[in-house]
Amino acid sequence: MPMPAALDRENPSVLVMPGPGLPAFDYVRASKPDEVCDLLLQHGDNARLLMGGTDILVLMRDGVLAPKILIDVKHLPGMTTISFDPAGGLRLGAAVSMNTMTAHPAVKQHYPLLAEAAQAVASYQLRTRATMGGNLCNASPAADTAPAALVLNARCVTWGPDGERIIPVGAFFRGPKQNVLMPGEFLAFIDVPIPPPGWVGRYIKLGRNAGGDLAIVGVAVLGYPDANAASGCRFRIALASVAPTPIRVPEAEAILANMPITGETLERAAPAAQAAARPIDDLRGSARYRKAMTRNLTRRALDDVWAGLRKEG
Amino acid sequence: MAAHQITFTINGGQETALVTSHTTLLSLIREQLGLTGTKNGCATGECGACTVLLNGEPVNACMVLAVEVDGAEIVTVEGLAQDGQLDVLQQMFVEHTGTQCGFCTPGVLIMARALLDRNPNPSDDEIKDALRGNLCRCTGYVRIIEAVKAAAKAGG
Amino acid sequence: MKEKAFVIGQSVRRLDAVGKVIGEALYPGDIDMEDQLWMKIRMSDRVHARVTAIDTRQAEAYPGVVAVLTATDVPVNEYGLIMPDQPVLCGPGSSKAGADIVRCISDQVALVIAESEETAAVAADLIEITYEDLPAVVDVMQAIADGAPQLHAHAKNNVLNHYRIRHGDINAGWEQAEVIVEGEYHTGYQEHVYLQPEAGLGYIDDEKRVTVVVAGQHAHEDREQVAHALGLPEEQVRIVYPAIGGAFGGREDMSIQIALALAAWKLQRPVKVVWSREESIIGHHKRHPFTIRARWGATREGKLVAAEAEVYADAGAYAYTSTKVTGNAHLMVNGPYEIPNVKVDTYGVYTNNIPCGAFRGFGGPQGAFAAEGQMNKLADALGMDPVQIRALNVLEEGSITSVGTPLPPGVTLSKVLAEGAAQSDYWHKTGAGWARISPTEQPTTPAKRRGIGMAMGFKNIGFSFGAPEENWATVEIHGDAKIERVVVREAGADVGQGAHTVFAQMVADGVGVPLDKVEVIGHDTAETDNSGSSSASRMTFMAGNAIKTAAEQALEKWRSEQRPAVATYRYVPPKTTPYDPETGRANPNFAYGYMAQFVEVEVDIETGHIDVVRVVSAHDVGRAINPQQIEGQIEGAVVQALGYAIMENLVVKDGRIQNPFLSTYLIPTIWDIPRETKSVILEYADPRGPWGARGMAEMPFIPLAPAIVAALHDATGIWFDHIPLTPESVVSRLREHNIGVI
Repeated sequence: MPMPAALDRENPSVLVMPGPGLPAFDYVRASKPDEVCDLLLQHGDNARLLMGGTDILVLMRDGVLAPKILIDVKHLPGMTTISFDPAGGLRLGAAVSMNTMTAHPAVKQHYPLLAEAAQAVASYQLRTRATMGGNLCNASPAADTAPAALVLNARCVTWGPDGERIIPVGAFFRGPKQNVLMPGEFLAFIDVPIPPPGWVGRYIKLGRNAGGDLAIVGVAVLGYPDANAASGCRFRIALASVAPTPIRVPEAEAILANMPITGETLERAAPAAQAAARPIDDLRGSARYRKAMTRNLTRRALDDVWAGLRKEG
Repeated sequence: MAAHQITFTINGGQETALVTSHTTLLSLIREQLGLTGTKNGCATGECGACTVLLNGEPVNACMVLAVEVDGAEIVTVEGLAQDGQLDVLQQMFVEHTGTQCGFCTPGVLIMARALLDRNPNPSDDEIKDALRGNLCRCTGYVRIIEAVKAAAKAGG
Repeated sequence: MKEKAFVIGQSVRRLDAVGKVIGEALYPGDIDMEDQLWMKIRMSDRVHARVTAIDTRQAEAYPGVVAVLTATDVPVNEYGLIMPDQPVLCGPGSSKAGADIVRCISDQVALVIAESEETAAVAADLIEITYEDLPAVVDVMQAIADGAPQLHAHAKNNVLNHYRIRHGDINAGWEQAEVIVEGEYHTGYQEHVYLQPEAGLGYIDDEKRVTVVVAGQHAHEDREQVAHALGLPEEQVRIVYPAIGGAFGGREDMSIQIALALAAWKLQRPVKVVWSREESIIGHHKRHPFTIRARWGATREGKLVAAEAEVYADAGAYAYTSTKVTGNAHLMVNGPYEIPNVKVDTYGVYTNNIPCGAFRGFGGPQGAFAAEGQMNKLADALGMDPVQIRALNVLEEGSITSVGTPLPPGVTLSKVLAEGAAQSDYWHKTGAGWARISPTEQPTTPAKRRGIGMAMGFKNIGFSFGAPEENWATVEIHGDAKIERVVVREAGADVGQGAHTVFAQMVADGVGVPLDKVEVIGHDTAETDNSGSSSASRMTFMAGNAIKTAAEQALEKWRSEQRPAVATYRYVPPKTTPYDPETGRANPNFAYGYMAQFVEVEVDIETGHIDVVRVVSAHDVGRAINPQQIEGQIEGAVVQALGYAIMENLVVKDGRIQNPFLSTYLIPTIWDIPRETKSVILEYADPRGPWGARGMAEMPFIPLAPAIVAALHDATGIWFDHIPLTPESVVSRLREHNIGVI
């Protein structure tokens, strides 16, 4: 459901004076996936999922959303479980909290980029509740974990009336605050494959302060040695907060795959990322600033990753 | 509008409460249980004044539904002192003037308690990472950091 | 025999610290009464409109609603600290002419009182207000232009006040000037963001007084405002402050006080209100945005010979304390310097923006931003050291200020400057004068540049310009053969700064008893006399002087066997005078604090982020009654000023606040603070101060923004005359000079 622009905190045009608490609704603790699908089908937009609640409760409190039912899916089997298989990769229950994810040994060892991205979100106490699943489902252009998910080629595993569906994260976002989930369908797991050997990742976030602000620009870069690439390396680059959805930047990635990696090549890739950015003006920053910062931050992330690759290599 | 009966432990004692679906944990603590040490500074998870421990982990109580804490264990600022003996963090906040107006203090103390529980000897940066979500407008945070370090040194 | 002083100068623990760390301290929002009702205040939806009708029928019919109050219910429908130019409730049928007009979005229109908070909120939305829009003006320069919409009959061209300084001969000054620097300075709004949003409880007490439990800064002023609006004698109104969750000037004006009193009085039942964060941000006043055009001249040797300025402050829709804030800026825009020829015109201007009023520094930060900017530019233009040029020009004992009179005795600007510079570790004194020890060391990363800068200032302690100024204290010594207990009654608000602890220290010293024998009875108008407000860095100075004499007199009575021995003393400081309307000549203040700051910053020229690395803040506090609390004030003020200088950006469009949330209006987090803040506390006694103490709480705020700008200039070679220095604004300014992002 699109947000009414008038009530968007980032782009307010009218005064919002919400009541003292949350609007009334019914809380349902779901124990079976089918129950969730049924409730979603039955109630449509009047039903919403509750995982960490850190986004939806704010929207409800602000009066932007007023669902009649909140379906708590944290108690469904596997929703708060993390499993790792050295061959298949990581499976995160959609309702795993960001702090749980960040502290998990497999994430620390094999997916430090996910931890780095999650730690850029808000505050520690908020991350006790906030989930990567929720971060992706909200489909905010500014979602901090989205660029990391994009460069890690993560997949969304959904459950719906027709059973399971696997959607690459790159195809999961439809527009600002819109995802591709169908009626009755919900996100159950996030699968993150084993990244290529020798990879190095980095997430850089620019806010208006040194901590906690939403991203003005977020850049994730993942690089790895690849003998098939002309340059000997491949880079994956993803951006947050500079387009209607988090995006990959294939144009910049192509430059880096096809030309020997030098300072000059890195310098050429950054403007390609800038060119791909289609930001808007909002309270946090103008489109012009965002575009310029896309270039600068992409360059910094590339520098860091390239330095890491050379160290590894 | 559904009502839910929930049972939980708060500051060591068991409680049962009847809550509506839309009652927040903050409203349960402040209004139903009358524990006003936990403060409401923004109601949207942005100031940290309502931070409490939920099963040992810090949360913004304004961002948790009361119905979700059925069976859980909650600690508020009122539960930090044991048998009339201040928690070492409380002692050090008194000693180092880590509190001025004091409105952020309960949330800061809970956050610092959680930090020292998982990391008894935090660096300055680790303290800052932990307290990033607790706004203070009076102290400039300097004495808060000092007090947390002093508490860690005193055995946390 | 009085025992030796053993508590003055000691960092004793705050009296309220244990209550605060165990969660027992009660703030207004924490207090409930049986049978209480809840109130929701419906604010204006328009920035300038006539309210032609208010239909409350639906709201009144809503189940659980007890009453809806509007303008017709207010006995004397006006209030305001300096002048009663704001209606309590805007609407037709009022007791005052013109009260049917809303002039900003925070004007209050109706009060809904209901059995629950939720009911009150729902019903408030059911009130139908019919407006007839009036042309609005939200820009200061447009507001003073001919033909602009007029907000108030008493303010032609929306000019609330115009002050002048005509000192010396400005034309002769320009003739002597060998170097001239100019600047147009812009400072932004600032929102207080005290952690506790407005909350309170109104009820009728046992003695039938309408009582308001609230957080404020001046209980007796609140009482006067409430009594006036309710048409009651002051004795029938009582104001009680429990713990106050921060104030910083933001609680000096009325927000919920009159509404609570009115509701409780009408309904004869307890009524509670708690504002949300966004109601707080929209509902109370802000720090004034200023535009200052300044032109200063000096000789080649660096002696100031001329200063001219035009100062414009956006007062918003009502006066609040704007005449005083602009009065301060009017003086401070000339800096703490001896300038023989000065011409200043300062205007407070009404607009349909949110009202502006008191905020830590009270016009000082805006004035200093221009003055110190000018001084740093002059130093640069002359190739002089910024400390050296100040040393040449600071006001000394007996120097004549721009308003034609000397500062009160005890002028220590040159000492603060010298000791601050020496202890900053950036400057040293050589045979030729002050100089940097070494050039600023640059980071190896090309995107980062470092700079070092400084600024200084002065700030009045206590009320200015002839305003009545007093402080009452009562000291009671209880016991029989030995003193068992000493009670001090002193209304001075402990807004978080620790005033009550300092009062107790002063009483303990004055009577000669250990601290644990002292009890402070504070801010309840039924228990205390007027102390004035906790503002203008005045409470230690004013209450201290009252307490000191009251303690001496009580001790006399104790010695002459009175039991209990009780003495009340009213301290009245030396008189001040308002600005002469033509020349500005005045004795504006009776005491001052002096300060200098030295800062090191690192700017990321690719992102515009400024990292304040180190701040050295030097202050003459006269006597440090409680050094740890003073350091707490310095560290807190520095971070608040850092927010003001580089981060806090209240966006107001067409009179409406666009970012009334803590996620969109950012204040410094623990990650944003300087890596080091060094306090340099100097103790040169103020001859008028109790134990020699001066006030100090606002002073560390004032020079920080211009010191950061000076450091940025050192880092980049560019002057920044607009604050806040948000990353994006820094990048665009650098871009104008082909630095960083091209």
